[in-house]
Amino acid sequence: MKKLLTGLLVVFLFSGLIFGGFSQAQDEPTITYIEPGTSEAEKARTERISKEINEQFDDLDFQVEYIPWGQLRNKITTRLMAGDAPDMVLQQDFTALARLGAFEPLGDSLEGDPMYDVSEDNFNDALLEYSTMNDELYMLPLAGVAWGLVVREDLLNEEGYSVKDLETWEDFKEIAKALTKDTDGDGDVDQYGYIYDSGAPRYAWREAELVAHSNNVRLENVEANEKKVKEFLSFIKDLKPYTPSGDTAMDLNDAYRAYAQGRVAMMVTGSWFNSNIVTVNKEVMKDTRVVPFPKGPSADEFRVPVNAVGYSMFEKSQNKEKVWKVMNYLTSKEKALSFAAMINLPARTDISPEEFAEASKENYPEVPEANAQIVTDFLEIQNKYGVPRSKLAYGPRIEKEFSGIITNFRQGNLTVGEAYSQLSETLPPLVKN
Amino acid sequence: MISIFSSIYSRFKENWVAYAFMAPLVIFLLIFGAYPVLNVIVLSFFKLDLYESFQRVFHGLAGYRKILFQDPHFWRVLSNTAIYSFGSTILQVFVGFLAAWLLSKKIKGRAIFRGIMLIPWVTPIIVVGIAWRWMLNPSVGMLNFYLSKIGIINNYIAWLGNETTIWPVLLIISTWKGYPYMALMMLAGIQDVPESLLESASMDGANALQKIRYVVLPIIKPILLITALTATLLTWNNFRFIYAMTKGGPGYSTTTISIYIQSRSFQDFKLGEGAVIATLSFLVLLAFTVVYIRRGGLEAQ
Repeated sequence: MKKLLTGLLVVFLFSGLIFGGFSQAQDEPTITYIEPGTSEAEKARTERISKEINEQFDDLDFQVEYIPWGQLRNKITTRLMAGDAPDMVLQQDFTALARLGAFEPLGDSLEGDPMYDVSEDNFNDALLEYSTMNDELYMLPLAGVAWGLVVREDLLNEEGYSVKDLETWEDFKEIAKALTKDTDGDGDVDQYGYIYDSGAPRYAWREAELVAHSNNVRLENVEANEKKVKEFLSFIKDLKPYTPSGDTAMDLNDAYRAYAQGRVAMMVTGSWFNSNIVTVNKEVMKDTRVVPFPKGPSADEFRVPVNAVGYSMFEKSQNKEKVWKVMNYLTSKEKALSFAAMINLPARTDISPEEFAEASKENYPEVPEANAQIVTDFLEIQNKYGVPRSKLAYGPRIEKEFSGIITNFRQGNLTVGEAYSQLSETLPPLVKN
Repeated sequence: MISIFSSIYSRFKENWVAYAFMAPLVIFLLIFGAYPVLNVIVLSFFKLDLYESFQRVFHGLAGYRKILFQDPHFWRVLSNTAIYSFGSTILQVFVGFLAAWLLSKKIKGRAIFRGIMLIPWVTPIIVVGIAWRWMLNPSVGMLNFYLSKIGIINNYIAWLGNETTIWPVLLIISTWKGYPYMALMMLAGIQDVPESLLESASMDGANALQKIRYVVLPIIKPILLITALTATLLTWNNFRFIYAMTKGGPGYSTTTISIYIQSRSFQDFKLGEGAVIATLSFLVLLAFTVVYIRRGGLEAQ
């Protein structure tokens, strides 16, 4: 009996040592990272990088959770409310949660010793400004998103124009008019100069935002800019004959299809254009150029809204130093280049257009040159004319309110004055909120 | 007092098996039915805006005042919901009755027609939404294509982007989706109508409309009323159909109460205001149901 008890005690002690060792191995802190890119290509890249991080940093356990872009804000808010904060996230719209103190300010860390060549000097100014709120940096920019006017160069050339002729709103109207025509001679217009796909609130607002910026006005500042906003509304109204009659019910995918089929010659979109159009008709990329939206009467230079996609650290993270290290690793030149080459634009200024064009070719092996041309156009727009997009806490609500008014207006149910009154009654309270 | 307890106890002792069988359902309903409803009602008296604070603050009826008297969209949303709910139900009852009447006749291939009729009803709502959105697409939709080919329209129409066409289109699709259920219920009722009554009516010289009016409808009235009530309540709270078709747009032109609650609660994260709208919707439905049951004579039946 005594021997049996001694034997059991020995087994117990050894097992304690063994499991103690295991638990020590598990003491590495877990870094929970929320990744919103859920396409196959994005997931494959994230898995590869996650493996690299776990190999490179032996003092942490890097875990990835996928939440699609569309659900990101809701799910993070719900998690925070439940007291279950992750450590870091890749995101774009951080304003609402930053106001609640959900994110750690990163400015001091960025001013400290740079790791992986990550320092303020290496980021595009407009993107860095977009990532800042109340003088605090809340996002380490990984990539940039620029908006531009995507143009079918072949159709313009057929009418004797080139993309360089798109300088002002008057030029734009003239070209849109020339490109609106009946190409097969059956008496019906089958090619339009422009499409404003205002069916989805998100793009109704964002495309309008670009056009308004080109007249040197931010749409949410409607009250203080009556003249400029009315100019914008008149311009939108003037364009109606050169847009498909049903585009008030179209979304971005409809616009891409119409563009790819040559039914519209110009459209506004973001720098993720290639990754979307390639699945519809990659050949059209060869005839595509991107330019800043032409200048309105109140603007003396091109202005293009840009926003950053970047990493934020949660204030409740227990491992801030380690998270910061990982964030720096992920925004190193090599990693940032590989991300931007897949979708969107580099946020780092030490990535040259040539390096970027070369890297992005790999993702579009069937149309490498066309892809390189388009991304280079977008990069030039971002770097030369980029101004930070407005950061609005109640973005989805503003988009919905705006799309209702602009659809009504475009259908001819409101005059310029009435549309302006409705915008100035509706938007300011939501912006101030 | 003691006698009340002893009476309850003796009743329980007599029927304990029945209570035991009912217990899981009652517990389920209390946890997943009553508790969330009560919680929403309680929340409606608090301000809880997650983009301001995670803490809720009691503010009594202020939320109700704001929604009822200051919210620019609430009344429009309520009227949209009424149009959708009552319009769709009335059309479903009408079309459902016609289908049931036709399928109650001894026609060739009746069983096949009955099966085919159920297709819209069993098709998932998201599939219905995607399919119809494609057909109604203002640029490549087949409806515009064929209507222009046969010369009915000259320009393609944005069926779901135009305030004059959007509700008629949504009501037609909603009726198409929901009428088979109505037809099925009414078919069961019509089949219970004794053949001898219809024959007597024929002998008395009644035509088809008179037979429906004076023989069939009075007999199937309880089924008709209950099915219409169920359809109204289900449509009122239906989120998926409108969301799949229009997401409530353009603007707020097709936003119904369930979509409004969702966007206020989970887009703006104003959970207190969302709870107020949900409570008001609950009260409207409760009042409607009580009046409907009393006026329809369902209480007695």
